[in-house]
Amino acid sequence: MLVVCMRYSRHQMEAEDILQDAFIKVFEHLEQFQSKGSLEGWIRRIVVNTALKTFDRKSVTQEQIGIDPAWDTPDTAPIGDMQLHAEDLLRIIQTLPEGYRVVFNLYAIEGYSHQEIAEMLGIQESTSRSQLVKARKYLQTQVQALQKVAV
Amino acid sequence: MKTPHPIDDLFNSQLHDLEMAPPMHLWEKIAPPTRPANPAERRRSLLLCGLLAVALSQLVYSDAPNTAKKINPTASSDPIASQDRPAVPAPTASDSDNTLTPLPSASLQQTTPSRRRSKRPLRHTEGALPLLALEKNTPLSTPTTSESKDELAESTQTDAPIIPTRPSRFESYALQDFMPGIRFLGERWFASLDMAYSQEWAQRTLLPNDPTHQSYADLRNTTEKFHSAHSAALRLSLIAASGLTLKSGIQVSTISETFSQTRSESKIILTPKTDPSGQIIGTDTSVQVSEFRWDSRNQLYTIDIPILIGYEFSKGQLNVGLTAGPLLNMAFNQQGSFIGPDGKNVLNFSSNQPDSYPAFKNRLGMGWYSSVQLSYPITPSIRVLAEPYLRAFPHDYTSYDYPLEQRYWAGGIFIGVRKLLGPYWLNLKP
Repeated sequence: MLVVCMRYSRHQMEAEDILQDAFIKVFEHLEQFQSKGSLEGWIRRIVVNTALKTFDRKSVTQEQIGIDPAWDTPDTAPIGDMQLHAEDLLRIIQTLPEGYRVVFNLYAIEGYSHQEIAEMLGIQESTSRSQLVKARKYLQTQVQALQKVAV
Repeated sequence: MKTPHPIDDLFNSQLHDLEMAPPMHLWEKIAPPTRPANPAERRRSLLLCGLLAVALSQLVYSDAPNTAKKINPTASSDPIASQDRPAVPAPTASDSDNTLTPLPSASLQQTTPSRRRSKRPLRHTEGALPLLALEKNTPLSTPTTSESKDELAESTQTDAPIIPTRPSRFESYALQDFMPGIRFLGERWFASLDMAYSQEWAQRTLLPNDPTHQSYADLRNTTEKFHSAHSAALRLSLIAASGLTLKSGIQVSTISETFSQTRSESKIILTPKTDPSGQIIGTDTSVQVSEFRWDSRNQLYTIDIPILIGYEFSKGQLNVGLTAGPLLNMAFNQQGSFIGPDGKNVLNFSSNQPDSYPAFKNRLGMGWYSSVQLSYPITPSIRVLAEPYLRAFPHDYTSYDYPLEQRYWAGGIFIGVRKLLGPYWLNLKP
């Protein structure tokens, strides 16, 4: 769960704070867990919700109207077959602007749809889509840079 | 099927099941705040809330009798009836011991190398429980998609210690788990707004103040019939993590009745007969029969503030709640017609016309409300609501000087929506 928190935060200290808050909620509500589903899924959901709670909605809407960053590479640029370390990817994801990071995590890793993300974050569905596209472009640039360094 | 974006796929496969053991000092910080709230303190707080509600109710109710109008026999809108009306009789007396087992290593661990190319539909975390020794309590749900089945087969073949599970979106989570809540009275509280409407059924009772007015009560019962009743409610609900609920808001209700009466009156008319010289030689007698019919719609409007306490729990996706408490009447308006206490003349009553017959009180004091609430999610923050209920005002609606005591109780099923308030923004950082 610490990695889940790290994906939504900028550094480990912030991730630990989120994890602490989340597990306090878990223990407070443990009696409400109904044994029909996965306990891990239940805990993870609380962790994600806690992470979202610490995130400011303004960061999504303000980033949307900002100037597009310089990492405007083609959306379909190939990614090399080189094995990338999870630690590197985690570090890259933490450098994403907050709004991009939240939307990318929810869509690409947690598997939520844009409609669900829009509802969860109180933003427009189109905002979620545009944040995802920008996040992908940024990540693609960073991954390619990482590959060049490795080569 | 939509192909996942390569970037999404890369990060999903690398990070979805990645685990890292948190440092030991983190668990030490978690332990103290998870101590359960002092039960005595919680009881005191609840008692205080209850006393406050009763005191408020009493305050409102004690004000109601003074607002009754005195009957003025000359105030009728029927000028003829006022002469025949009998004297109005005087008023009669009537957390947790769970231990955590952190991993010994603080290094990154890729728990599922065989699932590197997992597809997008992976959701809500499936995988091992590396942090907590809770495997024995964790039921294994059946994968619902072919992809999940493939993954299960794959992970089984590679002897990975992971069995993927995929709970559905709302299944098995209590309502409170979706929301952060606010700490108050030793509990974590969550807010929701209930909006509901009900077509209801109302039962009226008319009791005479003394037996001599029984025939008048019977006459009113035969000339008035229940037509329809409605209620609409807007309530703010505070739901504690323990299931305790406090609700209040506004409830507007109307009860409609039809009044109809037909009365025949005959009049004998004597017309003198005269001869050509003008001398009266006799009289012509004719009988003129007139039929009078009154039809009116009587309406009683109430605006109440419910102060409800209850308990709510989850049953799968369904939330079930039991609620009861006082209704504080804030306004009672009425208009219509009925047969007056003399049993002959039709009188109009209206709270908007000061000179009309003052049969009713201006306020009803305190009533009671009880209900069973069922709610079901349609989106993460909106639930449909069905609420069978009963409401009643134990004291009569009529003025103290009126010879009959008119009371109602009503029941119905509120149908509406519950909007969970501020699921993620309730405790935003400034």
